Amino acid sequence: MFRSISPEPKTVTVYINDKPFTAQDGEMMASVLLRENMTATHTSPQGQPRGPYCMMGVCYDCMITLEDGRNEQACLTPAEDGLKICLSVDPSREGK
Amino acid sequence: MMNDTSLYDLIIIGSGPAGMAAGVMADRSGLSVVMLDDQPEKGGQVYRQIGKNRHDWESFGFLGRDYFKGSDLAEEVEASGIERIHHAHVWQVTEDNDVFYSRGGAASSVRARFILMAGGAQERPMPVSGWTLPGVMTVGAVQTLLKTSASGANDAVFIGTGPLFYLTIWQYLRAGFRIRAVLDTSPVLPPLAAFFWMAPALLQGGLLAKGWAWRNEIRKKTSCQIGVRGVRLAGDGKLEKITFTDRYGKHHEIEAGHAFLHQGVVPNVNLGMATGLDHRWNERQLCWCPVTDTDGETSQPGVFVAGDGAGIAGASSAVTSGQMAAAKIIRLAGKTPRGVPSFLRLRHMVNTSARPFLDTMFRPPEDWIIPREGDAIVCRCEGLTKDDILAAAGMGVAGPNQLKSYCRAGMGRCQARMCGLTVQQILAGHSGKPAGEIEYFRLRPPVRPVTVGELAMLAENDGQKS
Repeated sequence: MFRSISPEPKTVTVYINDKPFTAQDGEMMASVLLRENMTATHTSPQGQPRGPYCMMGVCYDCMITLEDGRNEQACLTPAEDGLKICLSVDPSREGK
Repeated sequence: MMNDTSLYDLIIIGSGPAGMAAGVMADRSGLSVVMLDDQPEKGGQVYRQIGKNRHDWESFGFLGRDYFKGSDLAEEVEASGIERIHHAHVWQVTEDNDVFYSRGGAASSVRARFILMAGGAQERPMPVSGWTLPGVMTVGAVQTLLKTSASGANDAVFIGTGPLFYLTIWQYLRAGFRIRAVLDTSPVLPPLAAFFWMAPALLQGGLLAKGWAWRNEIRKKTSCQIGVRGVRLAGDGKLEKITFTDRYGKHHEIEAGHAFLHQGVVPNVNLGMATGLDHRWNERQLCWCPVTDTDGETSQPGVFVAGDGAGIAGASSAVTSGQMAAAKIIRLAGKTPRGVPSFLRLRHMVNTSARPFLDTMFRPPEDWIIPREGDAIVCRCEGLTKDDILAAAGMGVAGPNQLKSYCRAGMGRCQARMCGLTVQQILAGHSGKPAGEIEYFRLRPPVRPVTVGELAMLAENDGQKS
């Protein structure tokens, strides 16, 4: 599980599948997901869970859905106060 | 065609060391410059978030002094007149030098007399069995998490080789994260050719000494194995277990929730290839590179490539290659280059002198380029395995482009960024031809997924302009 050693306060609230989480302002959503132990964000065509892999926008394995229905890469989506995203896998499966 | 109604003199795509250095010089010399970058801030991957972190040595000092070398360039860019557009995803460069990009769900375009592609590198695919499991990431990804939020995971296993591999582990140790194991995939004895390249590499002796020190510290402070083979990553829905064979042929098993992979970096060629620039196979670096003159001008006049995107050479040579490209662009624009460092070409030569040594020393062995196991996924987007690719090859598929109609390899969202080199090597191995004789996937714009809605907005924007 990832954790941050930075003293920078987590000042913004983001919503992942309607659940609130705190994040550093402008931090990438993939980084927030990893810290909350949600390592899978969507599934492959064969239904296998996939999650953040490259963190620089080239692997497209951290896809998330924004409130307006657009699919975006979590590693290129900055956390903003009130941002709502949706994962297409069940995060409760994680961390078991 | 290039014309005088150009909005800008120069469009720079990418704001890493090459893009920043070129931009600063072009701006000082009186060119109008716009910089497009898909990240939230300048710096590229090597100096990721340098604009913010350089004021916070206390939190980010563990990254080491080399990272903070990006501070000066970042300051110069901030003080310059360069127009910077971040979160901009470039998806097409036309032969008329129109650059199309998307930002926040809307598409736009800019035009200039000159274009400098400074899109840098990506990590070489490392298709071991189970590399798609959540919890498995690249070492570069993990370094990005260090640079952007000082985040790390305890008890992870690092698997691979190369300068970035050792640097990131060293940074992890300095940040205070516990490391379960380091599985070094480089051979126990360095290849003989590496000794030959040692002589020119001494010009960058400081760099070599640093790498040597990192490696020694890692061997001292972590459970480190060299000459590791046959890695398999396994788990139910996420990584749970790593198995491997050590240098003596003994089998091992480690429980871990995180594995970080790395075996070098390769140029980001998607935009250049989709633009139609000539590329050649680089056998020493086992990747494709754009064909350029010494200043980085490509087969399309007015379009330049600088930095690692032109061939892997590292951050310091990205700066000098960006400056060389800028100097030529400024002269072609009819102006006098200002702020050109003295002996620029010589400096660039020195900055690249250790590269052949590093390329040879950390050249990934074949069984790390082509997965050993047939069930290992090669094309992540479409979930295709090595056996799937070989089955198509057995039916007479000659190259990657024909392969697409057999099994969709390389046709997913990432547009072959994660599988192109592996597919090429598998097909080369199957046909007995050298990899350089196998064509690459024919890439076409848009080089990243674009929605019809974004394109519709482009038409609206154009309507307003005209």
